Amino acid sequence: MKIVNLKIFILVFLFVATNLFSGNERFSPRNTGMGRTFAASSRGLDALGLNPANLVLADRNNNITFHFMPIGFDAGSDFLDFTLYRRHFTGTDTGTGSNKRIIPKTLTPEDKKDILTVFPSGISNTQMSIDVAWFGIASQINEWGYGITVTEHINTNFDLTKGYLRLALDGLEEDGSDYDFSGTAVRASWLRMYNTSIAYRIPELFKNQPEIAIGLGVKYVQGFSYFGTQNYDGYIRDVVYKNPTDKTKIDSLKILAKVDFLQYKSAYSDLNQLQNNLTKPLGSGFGFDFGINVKINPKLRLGFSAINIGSINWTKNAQILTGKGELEISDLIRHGSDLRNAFKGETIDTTSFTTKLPSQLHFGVEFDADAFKFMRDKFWGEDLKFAADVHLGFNNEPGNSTFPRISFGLDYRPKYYIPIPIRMGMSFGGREGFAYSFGTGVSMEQWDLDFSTETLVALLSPKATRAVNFTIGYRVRL
Amino acid sequence: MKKLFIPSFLIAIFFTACVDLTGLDPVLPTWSTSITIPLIDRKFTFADVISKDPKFVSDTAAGAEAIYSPILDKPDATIINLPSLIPKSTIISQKLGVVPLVLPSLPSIAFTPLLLGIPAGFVLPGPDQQISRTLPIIDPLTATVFDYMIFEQGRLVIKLTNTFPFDVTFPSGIRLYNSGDGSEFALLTPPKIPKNTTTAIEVSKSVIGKKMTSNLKMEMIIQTEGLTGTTLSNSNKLEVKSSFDAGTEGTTATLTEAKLLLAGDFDVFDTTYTIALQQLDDSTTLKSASFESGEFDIIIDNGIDCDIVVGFQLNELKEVANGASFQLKQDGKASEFVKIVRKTTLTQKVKLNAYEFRSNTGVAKNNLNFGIRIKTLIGFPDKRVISKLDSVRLRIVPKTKPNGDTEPYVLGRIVGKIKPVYINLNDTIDVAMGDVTESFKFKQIKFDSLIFNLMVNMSGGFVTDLNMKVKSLTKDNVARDSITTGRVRLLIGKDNTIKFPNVDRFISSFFTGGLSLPSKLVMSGRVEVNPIDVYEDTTQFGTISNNDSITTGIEFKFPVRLGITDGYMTDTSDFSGTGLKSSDINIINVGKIGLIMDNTFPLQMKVKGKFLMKRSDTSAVADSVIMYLPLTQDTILVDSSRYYSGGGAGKYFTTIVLQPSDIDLLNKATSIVFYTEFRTSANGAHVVRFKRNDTFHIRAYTTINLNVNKK
Repeated sequence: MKIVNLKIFILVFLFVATNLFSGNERFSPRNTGMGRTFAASSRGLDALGLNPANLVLADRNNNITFHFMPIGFDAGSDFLDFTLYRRHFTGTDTGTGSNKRIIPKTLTPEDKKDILTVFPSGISNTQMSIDVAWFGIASQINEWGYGITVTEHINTNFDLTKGYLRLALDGLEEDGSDYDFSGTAVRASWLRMYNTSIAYRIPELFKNQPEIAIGLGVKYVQGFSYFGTQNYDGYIRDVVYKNPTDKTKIDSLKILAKVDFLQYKSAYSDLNQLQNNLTKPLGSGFGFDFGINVKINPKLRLGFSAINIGSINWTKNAQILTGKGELEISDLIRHGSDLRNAFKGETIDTTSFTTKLPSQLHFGVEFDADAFKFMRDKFWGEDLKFAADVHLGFNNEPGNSTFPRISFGLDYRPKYYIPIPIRMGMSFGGREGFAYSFGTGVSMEQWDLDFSTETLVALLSPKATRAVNFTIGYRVRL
Repeated sequence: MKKLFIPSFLIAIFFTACVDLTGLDPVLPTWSTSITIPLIDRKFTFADVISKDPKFVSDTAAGAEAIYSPILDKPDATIINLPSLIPKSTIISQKLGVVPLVLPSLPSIAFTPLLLGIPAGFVLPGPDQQISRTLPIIDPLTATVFDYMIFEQGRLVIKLTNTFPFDVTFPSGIRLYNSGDGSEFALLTPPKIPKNTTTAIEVSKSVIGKKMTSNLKMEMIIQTEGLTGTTLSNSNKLEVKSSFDAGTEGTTATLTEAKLLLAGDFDVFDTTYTIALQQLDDSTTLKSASFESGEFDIIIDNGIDCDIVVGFQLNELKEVANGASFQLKQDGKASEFVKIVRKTTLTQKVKLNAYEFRSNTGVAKNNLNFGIRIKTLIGFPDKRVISKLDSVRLRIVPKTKPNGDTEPYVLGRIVGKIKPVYINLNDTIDVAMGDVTESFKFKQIKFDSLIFNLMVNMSGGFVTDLNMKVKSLTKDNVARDSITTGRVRLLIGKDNTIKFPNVDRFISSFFTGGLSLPSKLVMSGRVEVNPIDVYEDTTQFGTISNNDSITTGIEFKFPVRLGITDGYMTDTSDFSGTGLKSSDINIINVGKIGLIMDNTFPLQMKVKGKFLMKRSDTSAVADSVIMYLPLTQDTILVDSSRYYSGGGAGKYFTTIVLQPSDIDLLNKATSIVFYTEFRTSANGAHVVRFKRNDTFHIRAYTTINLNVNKK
């Protein structure tokens, strides 16, 4: 893969991103600014598709909010940080003056070790997502809340084992090698969701009943491409037997290899075909969101949601990629093709396959600072909220992870004449690991312009970052 | 939009300014690495050869000696077809031989004075008198039994006694005649019968062929002589006694024919069976036999004008089911005797497969004995003509084919003697030694302890001689040599192993100039069952079945003990290059190919390899050699500790250093050929033993040191 000019990429992306608008988890600046904490604390369009019960909650007293074509972008990996990148992948200077030029750095054994230590668990997680909401509207009328949005989700998860990099750096050594590829996974999908949600605030049925809101969302999901590794188990070993009487001599050697993988694929064969079929999905299905929000007391609100409960049935261009074999090869001339074919696998056309939506479970709590006696009138501003969530993914479909994530968030709005909100957050776990987040913007009476990033480190200390994440959105309030 | 654009642009510029992006252009580093991969691992074990080729056998011990023992296709057994019996029809007649009629007793006539009409008690004044008398002679009761009878052998005897006091003569004799037609039965002329005779005067007359009816009368004229002056008493008489005999006194006359009635059944006193022989074959004698097929009819014609009971015997046929002797069946019952209505025919079909033949006497024979006798004449109330020449005819008629030919009796199993049976054997056995000769060539090969036998089994119990010739063919079907067994007498019912003489010469013929192993063995010859000398010996008998067969086969094996001179074999594999592009060859620092070889064969080997590039212009042109292994084109000597004169270590290492240009050359290779020479010690003069675990193991690996991303 060609290495793109990172600097140009960042500049272009920022320029484009600032002209787009966001919403939802990835494209809601408020959510991402708070470390993607939303189960109890999101309101209006920010809650659409995440906790439909929250749609009925007051969103700064605006009855209707809507947005156009917002976008959220996230790209990151845990195997290469900026420092490592600069240390080994930016070359070294040679010459002086006009003869000064940059040449590739020659990696020493220590450099190889340095690079290989970046695999924390033997597998690096790389992910990229682009989320676009073509249109979205949310409204609160009396005890009801409504929301409609059409969103586009392009997600890629790429799990690479340390074995691949070791194979590239160390090759197959005369003393033998052992490279494990188990856990390798590529999962990518492009989904379009038509989401309609409704929320209802349950009237007081008994005395001292807490304020309870429930919500339901229905998503009609269209799939435009899918590639998913269901399992990948494999290794390659170069086993060298030395002559017992003369260890400097090789007596024999063999390559042991095992591969066992299963992948689903449904995609257009090229971009032109995809471009011509943007309204013709390859698969479709339904998803459901359920949510509940309970206001325990004026200072505490609890939220719970289960989202994307459903599946997609891919019926066009459906293929199964599978390979299974265990090889012991000591004669590559005769059996080399066996090794190639085993890892290449076999592509089988199939009528259809079904994949789960990235189903998730969210628990959250929101504290209103005004509700605390020690905080009341102690901070300068109009509103200050703290929130915390626990996020559990049911599967590892693109954009999802079964690794739990905990997030904390803060949303602070100063006085009305300073319409610049401050949002901060922390997130632990998930595919992305630990991240600080920060968000701000302009919050006017009839519109919001918000910006946030979860890669605060990238902004303040780019050399230590492993990810790039921006969310920018514009919202109109009526 | 303007309101939106400005704040967005400002924010973008702000954050961009926060990022230090100088010197961040990615520059892929370079590094060195090595690739060590196994290229070739070929193990040529003798055990593999044995396991892949079922012609090789050995016990399971690792060091066991290998034996080449092809399981040759066994030719189909040759079925021995027993000679069929061609029976002939046979016919016999059983004459009645007797007329069931008792000769009537003739009355005794006493002519008293009263009957003669001569007074008694006073002196007769004379003259002599002539007195005529005619009397019926058959008593009325007897006359109802028959109408007539014709004498076969007989004499009418008349005894005359004259107690009158005068002589008596019969001037016209005594005449017996059948009063019905007046025909004369007998005329007797007695002499003068003297007076007062106490001894009867006898006269007789043959009645042979004479017909006597039941109304037979006696006619005579009695002439007295010397009557005058005699006085008769009432006790005086002229007595005439008549009787029949056969010619002498005390014998019984016999009849040839009579018309009679038979008030009761008449048992023929003669119980002797008249025997008929059906000859089965003129050259096959049997003590016992079973039949696969064959039919004949038993036909009995009753030529007598009365119902009869006949006896029938065919004791040499026993029912397979119960061993009982054959009997005719009537009304569902088997019996020695059957009744046959007058002037009719009794027919019974006999299917031989239900019977076995057993010689009653134990003596081998070539015919079947049929016996018939007339047991009883069934009485009849009306008078019928019965002649002693009346007969019952027995016919044994084998079944005939539609064309009129006699259907043979097909024997199933016999104990006896058959005429010599000659069976021609012609079989071809594939003994091809697989594709060994396709890849394994040699100048001379020497065998040891080779076994080449003819295996014969004759399942029957007859003495059998065999004379076989085995002709060998090369894989091109060119006759190479032949050997013969000579005349061999086989052990009956056992596997016979017939060792060919001059086997070494026979096998060696394949390796003198032809350099190919036998491909086919063509066997031809003749088997003689019950050869003539045994056949002519009347004391020797054998047992054989129609399903008996003679099976032949070849046992061809030899321990793999060979002496090989200048043997060689080649092994070719496809090769698809190194996988490195020519443009990437400069990243190679250095490469090497390591060769490791182990040899435990009792052979000295010389190995070399070469990489070939297929010529694209025409397949008729040999592929180009790109590179030799070793590069010097020398062969690598791989001795074995079992090589007689060498005694080498049996393991060899060789490393061949390759330059990047060599690697580039290898990219053009399409195949790799390994050429291996073989030689046993003393240049093939010594024969060495090959074992299951003999192995030649060649491994090759390559190590290529690369500078990745080298500019």
